[in-house]
Amino acid sequence: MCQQSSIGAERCLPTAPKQDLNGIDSSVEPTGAWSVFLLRLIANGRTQPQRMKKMGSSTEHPKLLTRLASPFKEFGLLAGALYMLDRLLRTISPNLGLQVYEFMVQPIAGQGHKPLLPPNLARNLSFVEIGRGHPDLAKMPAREDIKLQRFEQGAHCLGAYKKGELIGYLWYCRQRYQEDLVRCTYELVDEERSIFDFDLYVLPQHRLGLAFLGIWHGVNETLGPMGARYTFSRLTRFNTASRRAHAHLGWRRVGSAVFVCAWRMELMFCSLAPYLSLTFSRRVRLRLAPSVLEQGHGSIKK
Amino acid sequence: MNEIIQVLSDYIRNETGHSGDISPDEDLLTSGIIDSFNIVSLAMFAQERFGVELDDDDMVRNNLARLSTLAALIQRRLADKA
Repeated sequence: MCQQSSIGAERCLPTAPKQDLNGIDSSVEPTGAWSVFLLRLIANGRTQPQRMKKMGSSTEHPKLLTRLASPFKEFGLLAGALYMLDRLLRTISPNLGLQVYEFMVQPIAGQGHKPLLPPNLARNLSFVEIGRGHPDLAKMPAREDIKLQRFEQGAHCLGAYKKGELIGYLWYCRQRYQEDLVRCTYELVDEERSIFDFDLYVLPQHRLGLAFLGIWHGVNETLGPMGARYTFSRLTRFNTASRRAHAHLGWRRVGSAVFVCAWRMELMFCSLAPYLSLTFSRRVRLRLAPSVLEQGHGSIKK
Repeated sequence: MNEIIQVLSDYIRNETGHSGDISPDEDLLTSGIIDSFNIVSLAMFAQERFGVELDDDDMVRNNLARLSTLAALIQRRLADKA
């Protein structure tokens, strides 16, 4: 069932504020207000001009059109329509909604590659695995039970520190990751050389600094030498800021999926096998391979 | 100072495809000309291009968000070096 979980909240939820990973407003925010308005129009049988008249201002019309157009402008025709549908469904019931995902892969630089940050900017940064019971877990916004679930499924948390102070972190799994917003498990085909990252977070006071790049620098410097070459992730299609930020890091799209959620039912349409799935309790499995990086296609459509 | 600003402007245009004017005092983030990734890239470019070493504490919005403030920072670092 679709839930508004706190897992990976900053980057994953379609309803999250459109901020980039350093917390900067960076896109036109298609608000949900228009969809509520549309729904009310439908429910009440009002026509738009009547509603406009009631609003008492002829200038509302172009504003409404702008709002209606903004998801299409920001996401494109198909994704914009999905966004509208999702907002509409969620307005009807919190148990209804869409999850529109893209699965991405990003290279992890191994030893001998140029570091992401030059030495003078990286000298005060350090990277530590944050395990169970670590005091800095309390600084993470995810709920305690969510953090516990992450450890229980074998997740790791790489903390980035500047002069000993936590500035951000990245949660990741090896081999497989069990999605929590929908019943889906991502299995990594090249499991020895792949990780799945699912929650990158920069602490608010460290946004717009080096933290975002610093975390990826840390991934390269700590996980690269351990043999990791690829990191997979799933992005919510509507998080354009995150897509843009990660496009800088050489991400490529592996596949995409739409989950239609209605109470316990989940209907999945996916570009990867099994392509179509209808479940009421079992988890669907998607196998993610890094081949798109070598083939040089699957680029992000900005 | 103007030369530094010109070099930085050219870099931004090249990186982002922005074709309009860039005022030295314009907040590049607020205006949407660059994002927070670009801004760090811009600072790293400035390091290499002008041969200065920025500190991680320099990497804050007040220094990086405007061409004028970034150019002033570069000038200070050039003066320190001299």
